[in-house]
Amino acid sequence: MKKIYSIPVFLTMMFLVACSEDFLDLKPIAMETEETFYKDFDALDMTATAAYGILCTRDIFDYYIFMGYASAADDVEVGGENTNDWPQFQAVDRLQHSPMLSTIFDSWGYCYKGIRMTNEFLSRVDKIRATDTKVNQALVDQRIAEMKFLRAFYHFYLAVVYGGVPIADKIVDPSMFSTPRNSLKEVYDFMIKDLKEAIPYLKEKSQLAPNYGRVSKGAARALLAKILLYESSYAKNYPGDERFAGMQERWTEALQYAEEVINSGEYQLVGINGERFASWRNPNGGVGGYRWIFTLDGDNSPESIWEIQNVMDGKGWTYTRGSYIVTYFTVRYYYRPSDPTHSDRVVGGWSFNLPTSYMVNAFGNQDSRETGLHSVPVDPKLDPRFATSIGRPGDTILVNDQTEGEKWFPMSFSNLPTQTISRKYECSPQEYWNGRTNDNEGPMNVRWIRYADVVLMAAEAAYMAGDKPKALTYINQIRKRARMSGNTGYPEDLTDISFEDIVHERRLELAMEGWRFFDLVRWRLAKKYISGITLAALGEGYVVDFEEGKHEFFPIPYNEIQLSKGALVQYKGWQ
Amino acid sequence: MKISTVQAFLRNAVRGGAVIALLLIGFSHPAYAQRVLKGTVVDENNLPLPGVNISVKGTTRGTVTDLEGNFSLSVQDESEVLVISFVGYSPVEIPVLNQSQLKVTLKEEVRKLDEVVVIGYGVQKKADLTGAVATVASEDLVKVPASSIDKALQGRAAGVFAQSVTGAPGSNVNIMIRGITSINGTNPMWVVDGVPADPKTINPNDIESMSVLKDASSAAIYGANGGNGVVIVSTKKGKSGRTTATLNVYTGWQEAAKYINVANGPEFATMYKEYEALLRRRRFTFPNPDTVATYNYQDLIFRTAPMQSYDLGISGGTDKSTYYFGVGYLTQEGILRNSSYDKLTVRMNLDQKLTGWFRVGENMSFGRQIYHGYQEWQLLNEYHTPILAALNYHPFVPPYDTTGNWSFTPLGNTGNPVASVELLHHKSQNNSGKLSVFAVLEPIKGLSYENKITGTASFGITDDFYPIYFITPSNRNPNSKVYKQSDWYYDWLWQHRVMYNVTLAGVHNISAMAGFEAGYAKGEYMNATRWDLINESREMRYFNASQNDTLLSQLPNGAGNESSGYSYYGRLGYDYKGIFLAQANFRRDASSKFGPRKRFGNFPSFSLGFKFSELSIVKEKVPFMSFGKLRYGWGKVGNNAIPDYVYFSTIGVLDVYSYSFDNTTTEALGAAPNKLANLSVAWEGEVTQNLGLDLGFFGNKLYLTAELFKRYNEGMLMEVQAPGYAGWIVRSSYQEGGVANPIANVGNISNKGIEISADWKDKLGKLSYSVNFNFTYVNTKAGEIRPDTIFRGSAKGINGYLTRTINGQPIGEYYGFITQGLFKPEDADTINNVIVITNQPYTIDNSGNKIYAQPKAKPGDFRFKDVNGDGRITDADMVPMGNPNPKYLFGMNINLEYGWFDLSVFLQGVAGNKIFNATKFYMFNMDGAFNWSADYVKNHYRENIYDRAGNLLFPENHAGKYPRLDPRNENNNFSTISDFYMEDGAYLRLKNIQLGITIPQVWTSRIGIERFRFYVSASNLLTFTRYSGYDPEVGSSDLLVRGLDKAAYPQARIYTVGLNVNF
Repeated sequence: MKKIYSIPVFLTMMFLVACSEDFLDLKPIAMETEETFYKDFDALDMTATAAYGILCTRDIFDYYIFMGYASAADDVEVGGENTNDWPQFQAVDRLQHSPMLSTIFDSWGYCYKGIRMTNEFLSRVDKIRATDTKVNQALVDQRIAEMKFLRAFYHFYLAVVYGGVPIADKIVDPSMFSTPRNSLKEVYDFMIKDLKEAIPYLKEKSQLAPNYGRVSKGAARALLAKILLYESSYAKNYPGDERFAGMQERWTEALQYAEEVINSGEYQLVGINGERFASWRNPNGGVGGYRWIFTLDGDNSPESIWEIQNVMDGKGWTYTRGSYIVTYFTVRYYYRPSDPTHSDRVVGGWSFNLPTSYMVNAFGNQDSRETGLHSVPVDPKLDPRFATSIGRPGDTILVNDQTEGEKWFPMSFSNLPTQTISRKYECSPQEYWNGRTNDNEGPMNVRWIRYADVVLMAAEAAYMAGDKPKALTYINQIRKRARMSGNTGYPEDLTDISFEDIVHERRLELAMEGWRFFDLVRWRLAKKYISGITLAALGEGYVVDFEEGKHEFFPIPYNEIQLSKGALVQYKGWQ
Repeated sequence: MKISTVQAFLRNAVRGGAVIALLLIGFSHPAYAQRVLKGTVVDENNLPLPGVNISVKGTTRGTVTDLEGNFSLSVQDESEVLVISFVGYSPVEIPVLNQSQLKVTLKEEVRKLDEVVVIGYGVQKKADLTGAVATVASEDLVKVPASSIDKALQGRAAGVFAQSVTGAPGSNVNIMIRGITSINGTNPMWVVDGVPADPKTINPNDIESMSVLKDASSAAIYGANGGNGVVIVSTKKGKSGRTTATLNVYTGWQEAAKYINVANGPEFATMYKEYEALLRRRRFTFPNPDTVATYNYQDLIFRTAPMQSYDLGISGGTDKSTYYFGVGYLTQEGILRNSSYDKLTVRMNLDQKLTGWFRVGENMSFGRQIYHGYQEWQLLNEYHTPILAALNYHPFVPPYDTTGNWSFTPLGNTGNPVASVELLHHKSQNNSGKLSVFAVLEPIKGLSYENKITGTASFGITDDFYPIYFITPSNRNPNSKVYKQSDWYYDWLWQHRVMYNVTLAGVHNISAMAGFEAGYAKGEYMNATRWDLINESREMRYFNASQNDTLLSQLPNGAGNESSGYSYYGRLGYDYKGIFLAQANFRRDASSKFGPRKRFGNFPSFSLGFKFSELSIVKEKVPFMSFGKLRYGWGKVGNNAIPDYVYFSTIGVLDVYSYSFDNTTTEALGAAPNKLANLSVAWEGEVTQNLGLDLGFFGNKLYLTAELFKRYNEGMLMEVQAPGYAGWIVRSSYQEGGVANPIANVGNISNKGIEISADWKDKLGKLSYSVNFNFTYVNTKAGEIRPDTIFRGSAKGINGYLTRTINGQPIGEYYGFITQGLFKPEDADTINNVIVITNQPYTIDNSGNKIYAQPKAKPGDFRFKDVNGDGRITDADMVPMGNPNPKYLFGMNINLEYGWFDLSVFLQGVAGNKIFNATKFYMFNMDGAFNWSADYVKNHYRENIYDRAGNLLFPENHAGKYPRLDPRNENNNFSTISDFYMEDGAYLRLKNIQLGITIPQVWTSRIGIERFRFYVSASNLLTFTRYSGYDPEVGSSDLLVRGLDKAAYPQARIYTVGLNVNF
């Protein structure tokens, strides 16, 4: 019987011995750690991919630049179901936003997330290229250049939205959590340096084919031209404003990089000679060049310089690499052709981002605030770009309906205060609304910089540098392509050029593409064009007021200021 | 030896089974008679006592006295002993000897404090306790028809706050013992029969005793797990003696206690017309508002819901072996349509003495829970809860259109609440079994050794089915979909414990305990989705019924996590003659959650007691004081309630990092660090001090306890919220694989408070009564946190974060602007044909113009307070508006017994907290996208409104107390966070009232029933509160966002009738 003592005592002893440190050494399940993962360049290259992947962050880049911030401009009204739909954007539309608006300012964090990915790559690449014996050194150089482009790209986005922001040129560790703003000039110098270092190692678009999703030499040059143009405009238009201190007019440099793109022969204005392009939207006759750019078939077209690649991948709304822009912009309701009394609305997209009457008038050269135009008033619909940009009552949308098949369905305008709809990113609901799931996964690429933008940048830079004839040539290329897209005779070539002509041409060519507000700010025309406008959704009583010194930039999100423990300070107008 | 152990188990199991069978078919035990012993039982006044229990010790034989107090009983030999017991009287034992006629006098029980309290790894007499331990009577736990035992703790013990996250059946419960101990969660550790367990799987009827260890000196023996306090539950064990069975059954009806008054059809239509007139619309949607129909959507989603509970417990045993079997089944439907909860519990406790110094036993439990309907996150989310939708949906729209489909309001995008209730097909179930086997050796007197091995295995299944539906343009499903998740969990725990008690020289009582334990746990899950089912019938809601294999979203997911740890612990107790008491505990824990350098945590504690009532001078001078004890405790406890693997820097290979480069739909996989790791993450340390005073008066009829406590949590584990600049923003943790921010020991939190409980128990003639009262004051402050402010909480449409947790301030306090009434016409001037409020703060710009603080304000808008007086309304003017955590808790329980009848009344309440009533935003909306509050319709400020032809449509109402209807939202009246939303959250609730009738035993014993009680009961019958929402008990799943009401699922009012039968 005494033996019975020994059993538990023995077991206990055994257990104590067995309980070494190994017992506590548990590794994460189904996840690699930093130490085990970064073994070779192939692994590191996946982090480069992640730096691109952030571009598709579903509701950040889609929402903000194309809707949220764009709606501050005179050409766009938020729309949606009613005046309470997406209140944050409604507030921006009315210029009543504040640092407290919570969700709209996520773009701050997501841009920095993209930047972190580039820094995660750049901080490790030297060690990997030294230790990975099989590595292709040219490819490593190209990737480094791509990461520098993306780092500049994300910073540029932050800089146009918020002004001077803290530069993140390395991985931010907790000791750097309270970092103040850099000056706008410092941010611009940083981006310009990154891009200039990147350009030699990037490949031309034709060399990349079919990997158009990668950054090309042209993309870096175009972004550099854009950045130089912004710096020059700020410098010229805001003398003495401390936010822009140190910025310089660098028009010839801007022109140089724009012309490097133009002269590279890699790009063209699609349809400038009146070509028609096959599209499922019009399989018989084809569509004009300008229209074709904004169809699914026009993804990565010869005019494309830098597009965010979107695919309908069926991964569901939190994960998809699809874009929401398509859903946002497509008309909310339409009718079945078999329903002539229009008694039963069918639901499509969400009807955000509506063109205003100011936008409509501009297409007819009838916006009375545009002074000094060399174009004469016409019917807006004569400009072939009008129908591609703006839908109006009576317009139809191509739908492949389960019961009626593929037909053009009349759009409903009954809930649209402007009686217009934005059509540039329109798709058939079957195309973005993942046919089987309830997920919106717009397959259409976001056209960030297209060749026409670069030609217009060249025109502007040339004009500002004093080369009017060159500016006129470039403007007329844009007008010709527009004209040839519908062969209506409009817009006609200009024989003389004013600055207002350049402003006007950008407004029409890039209509509803989200650049108007930022352009107005750098030209210091925001007060002129935005103050005094009314919003169709709110009737006549509400007049939007643009305050100079404040509304040029969006405020830093309130909680970022708190998290920085006061290191970040709002610009004066927002204090 | 081993074989006989197994045999003993089998024997007990067989015997238990046989007993159940016998009971069920109605047989009673035949007794083997030799001679008959007769007797009478009387009380001290020589009055006969009917219904007294008489049993023969160590056997199953027994009887009860009749109305005259007489009994007769068969006895077998002279060595037998009778046990005579009656509720409220001290039991006596009388040897049979050769007597044939007995007269027994029972003395009324003086309340004794030799009640034994279960503490960590042991038991202690209540009188000798030196830590802060509250006990909850097991009969109180079953009074309120609660779906789980943690819910039943509400109001029952001082210092314990318990609140359901939602009012849904089976909801999770938030428990805080003495305030917010840590922002990583406050729920205490639950220990059932010596091993950690999930309180939801415990049947309240199986509980023998429950103690709550509140301070570190009592909880530190649980080290890392004791930081939030420990609730120790002992389940019922068999006793040697006759087999007894208890049957508890009730059935109940639940209903919503309150509806919120929203506008009816005509009121809505009138308001909508006003809205359109303000926008100067040409045509009105409702030209004749009075003719508009009304549908009450609260009626359409709420219902009167049944609930039932059945419970059977059987116990008994012999000198050598005892057993207890318990089976319980609860089925409860929710007052919200299409929600329900079912729970089945089974428990078997066996104990077998093998020799005089060696016994073995087991505790086995199984719990099965099934949930139907809305999940917690949906009920707390304004985009998903049908309760808010019922308040918001337009009352003129019928729930179904003419073709029988769900309607969709033409004036907005609020989903049809009836549709969302009806299309819901969510079911989840959890099955969990736990088995402990133990052996106890007592080789010499006072020394015992226990070895216990416990294993748990559980699995859960989630079933979701989405039919084809359309609710709104952004909430629709074109194809049927099935989603399933399976999860598994298992753990083991091995405990060893040695205890030794000895008394030296008759006055020095020494006890010692030392233990070692090690454990391991692992969980895994798998889930998948498939679309496009053959049809929507129930049998087709399986993956194999999917018609389409091409959709990528059908990818399965699965992962897991595991943890391990081991601990050493010990306790040394000393007391001198039971007057001076001292105790010291120590525990050393090791856990896999921490990196190699930080694995161990040490948790010491001690406590002292002085029982001054034992001093002769006190006995002489204060004779009415029957008990008095002063005690003090100090201790350090820990917390490791953080996710596994935080010290690893992990790589996410995530869909959200992938990208398509090649102009096709092929995506390259992206991977990157998805978490900022912290190698130096270490244990939290909570230092607690407790000073307690226990007093008993008048033979302990009155018993008072008062405690002062102070707790300081140092090095609290917190997510260090990285700024956006660091690039770790995560939209949702499931999307990007968990928490991205580093977790570090950077927080401090402090709690101070007072607890008082009083207990009075006495008799007035035949009426016996008792009153318990408990009161708690607790003040919780964030000592220091990093960053200095944590922002949390949002509500759709209201701009900014709602709560802040700031150094030195309460946790999750609401911050916002102060409203100072409405601007009046006399505050305004007309400047350039525009009405401007000139009676308000302003600044002067460079050109000398006045810039008003609220530039677009009009009469009828809120005046926001310019707190810092700088002439502008900016974020700097946001001030604390209220603490959502109650400072005061109280509970009161009154029990009366008179003859056949018993009555209990239980009151519970909280005070000192504020609620952010976010539902007001939706019901005071500015554009008719939702329905309006009926109050707002009647009571809003209005100027004269004319139609386009100049006819007066709506007359002015300058007396309106709510802001004007403003489609343009010019002054952000409602989209600004302000004290307009804050309401007092104090309430006093009649939690339960119960009236019972017990049929005298003398009658029922003839049919073999020892006790037969029938009762009617009502829960949540009355609530006294000034809160205007559904229910002041606004639950939350986020500690930093408490008291945020987005139309909380209210606690149901429950009426029940029930039976308690003992055989």
